[in-house]
Formats: sequence, structure tokens, C-alpha cells
Amino acid sequence: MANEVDPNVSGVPPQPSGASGLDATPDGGTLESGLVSGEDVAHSRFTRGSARGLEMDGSSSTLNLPQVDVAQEKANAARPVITFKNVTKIYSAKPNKPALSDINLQIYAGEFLFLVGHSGSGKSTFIRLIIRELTATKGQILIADEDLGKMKNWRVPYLRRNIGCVFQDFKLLPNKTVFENVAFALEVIGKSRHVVKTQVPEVLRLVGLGEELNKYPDQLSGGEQQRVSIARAIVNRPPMLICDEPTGNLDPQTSRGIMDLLERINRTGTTVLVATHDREMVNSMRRRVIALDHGQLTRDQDRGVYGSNV
Amino acid sequence: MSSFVYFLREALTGFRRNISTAIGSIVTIFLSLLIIGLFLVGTVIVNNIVNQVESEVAITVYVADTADKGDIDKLMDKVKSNPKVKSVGFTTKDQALVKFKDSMSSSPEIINQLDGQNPLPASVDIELIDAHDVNEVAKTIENDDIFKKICDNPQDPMDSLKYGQKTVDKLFAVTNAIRVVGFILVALLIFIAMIFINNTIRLSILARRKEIAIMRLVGASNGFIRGPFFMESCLHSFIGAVASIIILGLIRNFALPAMINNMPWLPLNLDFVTFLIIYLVLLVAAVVIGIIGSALAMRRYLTV
Repeated sequence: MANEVDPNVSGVPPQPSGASGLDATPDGGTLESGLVSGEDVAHSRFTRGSARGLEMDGSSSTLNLPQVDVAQEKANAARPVITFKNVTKIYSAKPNKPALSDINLQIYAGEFLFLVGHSGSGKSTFIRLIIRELTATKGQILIADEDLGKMKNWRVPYLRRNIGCVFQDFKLLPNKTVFENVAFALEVIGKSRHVVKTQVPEVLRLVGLGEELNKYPDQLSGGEQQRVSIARAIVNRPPMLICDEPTGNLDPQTSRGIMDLLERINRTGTTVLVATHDREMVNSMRRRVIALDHGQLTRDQDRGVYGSNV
Repeated sequence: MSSFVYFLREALTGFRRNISTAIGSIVTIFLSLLIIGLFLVGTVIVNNIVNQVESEVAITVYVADTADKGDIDKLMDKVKSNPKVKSVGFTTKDQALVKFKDSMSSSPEIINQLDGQNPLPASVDIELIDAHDVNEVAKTIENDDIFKKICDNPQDPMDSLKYGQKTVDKLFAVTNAIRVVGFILVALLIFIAMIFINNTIRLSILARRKEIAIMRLVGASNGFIRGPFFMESCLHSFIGAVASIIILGLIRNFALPAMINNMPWLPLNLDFVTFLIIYLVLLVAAVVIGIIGSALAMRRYLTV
């Protein structure tokens, strides 16, 4: 893969380690193949066929790579899936202190991004703007050419079905079992009982919760709830995945497993955005890093590190 | 169709898992509807009583013993042609005496004092379609020439015309007041019960507002979120309504017959159709309130 050729990658090459992790998981292969197949339509604007896309917006040494692609792919590459234009978000509770101020940013299909920053730096606001839980005070957010500020309320569910989201506080339905929580994401898009019954246990096994199907969220530990949240976000195979602190409550080993999983999902063409405090993980994976500080975009770096200032 | 089944299944599991909330709202709905139902039955009964009392308002024309049979028939025909008159009957002197003896059967000494004579006049009895027209109809009879000719007391024709001149106005004032008060009471009660039911539904949805927000964030459309909630409040309303209908049915079959036995002078026996209408009103009202109430309560939480 292109990644291994690139001399800029230091430390552990992420792709081979991810691949070996995948092979170690007995049922990982089924999900992976499932993720690749049958999603071409849904992914048309969010993803591209291969990880090659990662390199196109990378450093100058790989800029010539897109030229080997077909014309269609080049056209897609030129158009980002998510564009922030001078986005400012001011909460009415803090009128003098914008949660985000004047953010300009583009996210391309198939990217793997880290969003880093202190608590209160605006990471969660950034994510909540993308899923339109909030609307920007100023500026424009475009997702797949659609302006979120002008999006009709009834269109919002369709946006969210295309963006799997792992929430910081999990947001699991307390009256539903683990199985039902994950199944809900499939039920909202009208999948049949049969599909639900086969896919949900598979995804739960993937996040290591194959035995907890019938428990309620309050019977699980924090880390287990987090993994249910991840399972729910990926079960409908969205073209984009957003994770707010996906490994915050997990032990290092499980964290590693989750990151492997995210990487594998990314390699199927899914755009992945991870907000995190996990310095080690960011440093070892060497992906694009966006740093926020007091609502300002302070750094946007390909193959970046966590940095000392955050 | 498949989503209808899904909504129903979700509503049933929701019902099972929130059994305490469900029972709370069912009991509230049940009691509210029962009170509405009782008041509706009560209003119908009171209305029947009022109607009965009013229908007893009739005009009696006392006819002189010497009156010509042809004149009496002419008067009766004339009165009958008035569209406000329901029926005209004739009571002969003998019939009047029999009636009098019946009503006085508890004090035979009065009958004995009659000495076999019959002092009672024959009379023309006029029933009206609407008792409220009694004054008007009485006036036209009073001014009638035939009436003046055949009346029992030609010196004072008014004396031969009985329709409770003084009391009828007071009676109507009272019956109208009863009707208005009854209507206001029922309207007020229905209003209170609706607010009660609405509040219960509102609270049960408030308790689950976070759930609604989560469903929105996971990409559920509003219709998909509403479905199970609507279904659930319909279920609550339906069970509450059925319970109140069962209680009203028991009252109809057991309590009312007992009351009729004890108070035979009151027109308490309502026909089944009246009850059927009341049952239907309760059921439809409950389900409508359930859906509208939950729609209103959910609207705020669906904007996430």
C-alpha cells in the first residue's frame, strides 16, 4: 500500500499492524467484507474506493498520485465531503466567548482525522455542528454539498443516518437492551427483522460484547457502554464515522482494539473523525490532526502528532 | 404495515417496561372518563326528569254541563289545527269523577260527602308539543268565541281555563336553570378531565425526553419516533376507557335497577342506545386526547 512506501511514516506502520489485528479477530473478516459490499450508493459522496484517497491531500511528495486514478475519482477528490466556511458558534450562555470562532476546514472522503484539544476547546461543539445537533451562529457548513444551516428539519435524520456517531456520554436508550440499542440504528432505516437479527450480534461480537446482548445499559460498565455506542454507530455501515472520545473509558488493550477496528473501518473507505485526548494513540497512528484551542483552529497537520501545546 | 407492527411491538414492550407509569396514566384516564361518564348519565337523567315535569304542563278547558256537543267538537277541531298542539282529549263528567275518586281514594269521607252527585265539569285536555308555548296557546283559546260560549263559568271565562298560570313561568325558570347548570358542569368536567389526561401523558413523555433526543441523534425520523409513543398512549387511553365503560355498564345493570325500585317516580330507566352513545363518546374522546396530547407533548423534544 502507498502508506508503506511513504518514508515520512515513522514508528509503527499503521496499516500492517491494523491488518494483522484484523486477521487475529476470527469474525473480523466477515464484517470487513460486509462493509465493502453493498454500500456503493450510500457512500457515493462520503467515501472513495480505496485508501489511496488519504494520500491525495497529503504532503507534496504524494501529490502526483491522483493522476493515476480515473477521472471520476479525481473529480470526487476535488470535492470535500465536509466544508467549514468561517464557522463561528456562540452559545447564548456565553455571548462573549465563542465555542468555535472562524473555523475554515475541509474534510475529504476516506480520511482518518484526529481532533485534539483541551476540555472546552470546542471539540464536542465541532462534532455537534456536523451532525446538526447545533447550528452555526455564523458561517456555513456544507456536508455532501448540502448547507446544514438551510437544511429542513425533516432532512436531518437522513444526514444522521449517514454519519455514525459515538457520543461522549454514549447516549444509549435506557429502556432498551444492548441488542435493541444497536438494532435501533438498523430499525430506523427500515431494515428487516432478519437483517437485524444477523447483523447486530455480529457487530456486538466485534466490539467484544457478544455475551451481553440482553443486558440493559445500566448493568454495564462505562467501557462496555462505550463499546455498545460504537457498535450502534457502525452497525448500519455509515459512510462517515465520528467518535467523541471513543477510548476515554477503556483500558489500553481495549483502546488498541477499538482503534484497530476504527482503522479497519476507515480502510473500507469510511471517513473517520476521532476526537481524543489519547496522546499515545495519535502519535502512533500518524494521521491528519486538527487541533482546537479556545475555539480557534490552531493546527491542521497531515500525519501529525498530538503536540506539546495541547 | 411493517412499521405499524413495529410500533405496536415497541408500544407493548414500552408498556411492559414502564408498567408503573403506564398504570398511573391508565388509572388517571380511567377515573377521569368514569367521572365524565357518570355526569353524562346524570345529565341525561336530569334532562329526562325536567322533560317529564314540563310535559305535565297541559291546558285544561272546563266545559259547562249545558254546552252543545257540536260546539265542543268545533272547539276541539280548532285547537287541534294549531301546530303547537300535540293532542286534544275530552274527559266526560263521569270520567272526571272516576279520576277524582282515584286520587282521593285515601280519604273516602270526601267522596262520601258527594252524596252520589257529580259536581265535576267535563273538560277538554290539551297537550302541547313544547310546554314553553303554553301561555301563547292559552291566550288564543281564551279569546275564542266558542270557548266563551261553552266555558263552565261564563261570568269569568279565565276561571275555566287552567294551565298553572302562576307556576308555569317559575317552573320553566327552574328547569332552564337546571339544564344550563348541568351543561356547564359537564363541559367543565370534560375540560378538567382532558387537562388531567393531557398532563399525565405529558409527564410520561417528559420522563422520556432524553430517549426522544437520542432517537433523533441516531437518525430516526419524527414519524418513526412518534409511532410507538402514539401507540402507547392510545393503548393507555383505550384500556382506561374500557375500564370506565365496564364500570358504567355495571352501574347500568345493577345500580340503576335498584334505584328504580326505590324511587319509581323518577324516570331513571335509560335505554341502551343512550349508554352506547356515552360509551362511544368516552372511547373516541380518550383515544383522540391520547394522540393529540402526546403529539403536543412530543413536539418540543423533536426539534433536536
